[in-house]
Amino acid sequence: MNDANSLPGSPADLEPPLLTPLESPEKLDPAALNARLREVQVLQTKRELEPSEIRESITLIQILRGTMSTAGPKAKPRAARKLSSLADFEASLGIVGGKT
Amino acid sequence: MTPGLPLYVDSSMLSTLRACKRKFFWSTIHALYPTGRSVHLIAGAAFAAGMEAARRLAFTAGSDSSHQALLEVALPPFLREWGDFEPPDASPKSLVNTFSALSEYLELHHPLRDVIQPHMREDGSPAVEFTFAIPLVETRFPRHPSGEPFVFVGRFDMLGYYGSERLPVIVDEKTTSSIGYAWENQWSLRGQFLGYVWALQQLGFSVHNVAVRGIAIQKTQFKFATALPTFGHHLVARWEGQLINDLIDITETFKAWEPRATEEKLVEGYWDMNLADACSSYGGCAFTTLCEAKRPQPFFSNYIRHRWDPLSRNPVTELTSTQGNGDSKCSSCQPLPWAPSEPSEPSSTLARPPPSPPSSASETSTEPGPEATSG
Repeated sequence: MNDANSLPGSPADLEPPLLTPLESPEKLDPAALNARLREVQVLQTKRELEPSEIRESITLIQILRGTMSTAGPKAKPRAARKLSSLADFEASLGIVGGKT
Repeated sequence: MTPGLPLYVDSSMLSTLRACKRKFFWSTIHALYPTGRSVHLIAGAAFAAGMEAARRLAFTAGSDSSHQALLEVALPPFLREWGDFEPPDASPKSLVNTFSALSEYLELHHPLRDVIQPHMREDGSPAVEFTFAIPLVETRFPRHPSGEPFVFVGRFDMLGYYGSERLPVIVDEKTTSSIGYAWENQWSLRGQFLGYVWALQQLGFSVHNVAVRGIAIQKTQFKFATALPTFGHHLVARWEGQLINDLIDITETFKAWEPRATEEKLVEGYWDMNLADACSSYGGCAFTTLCEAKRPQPFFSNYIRHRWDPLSRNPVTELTSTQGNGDSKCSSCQPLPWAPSEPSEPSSTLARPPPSPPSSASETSTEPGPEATSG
């Protein structure tokens, strides 16, 4: 729909262009992947996605999901403390000089 | 804004009324809805839109029904429902997670291989996104204060048949944050499902079961479960009795309240307060600000006016913001009666009811139990 101030073919009438396909999305960091997905999200509000954009978006979602499907960095096992005496053992429990 | 009582009634409105009449007054009579979009509604609507598209493709003759093809057809409607919404950081129901849950669900319950197969319409399409509208014309139902009959409306994901005996079931998929040990046990008295069963029986379907499919969307994993509650005739009759009681309650309260209400005076006291768990459960009622205020009207600006469209996937449609004067009149903000072409006959998205199921299936309550799954 054109209003009185816009001419047919003016930039306002043009649909957003096709997204340039990503070369190697699997090499991008999550922030870049999220930004690209956000771009697609906004694009979808303006026009229908093209099949190539749909396929790329699914790939992005799968990569992003892959980065989240583990519980994050595992906690390092606590280093075993060598207890060489009863005093060490009491100290490890917070008991100092026989008193807590 | 002129407060009003809609002609349509759905299970959400009834549930609100039963929890707290004052909440019903704010949300239905005044059509107020908290500002900010609900991640739960948006994620649920996007999931349902994607599932609908995937199911339709799978049951299109000659189509590619591979998992990848289902995802490709599901993504556009999924994104359309999602829009440019950005969920809160803490929410596990992100776009990536919700679509990934849909992907995993489609692997687990591929439409063509699922234990529940859809009822097929005469045109060969599956009975998905089933909507109904039942005018309550019989004399046992009270009339709307306008004199018109109320219309009971609803929408669910699919009408289908469970297992080799083809037990008729209503399928409702529910995205959630967790599925605990008691998840399967919470549906046996759920008014939403009793209402669906009642409505389908009015339309000539012999249905007593609902397959509730839970999809728990968590940060690092998804969980899936199916519950299969049975709703016998006595329960459905009780639900109808409660519906009648509730409609009498609504109309009597409305008739007592309406003549006394003015722009300046809400006279909200006609609508009883819960003053108990309903105020605080599920993170707290969104209307406590209004209930606590000495004068609630100035706080209307914290809300949007909405039209509750019970037949939409995301039933909240914003009409206008209440920014500024909470007392302002806005005729377009009236919650519109849901009356597509004044239904005088029960209607549904099916042209006609399906053939009756095998009598053994329609009467049984010993069908296979809930299909426990996990992802």
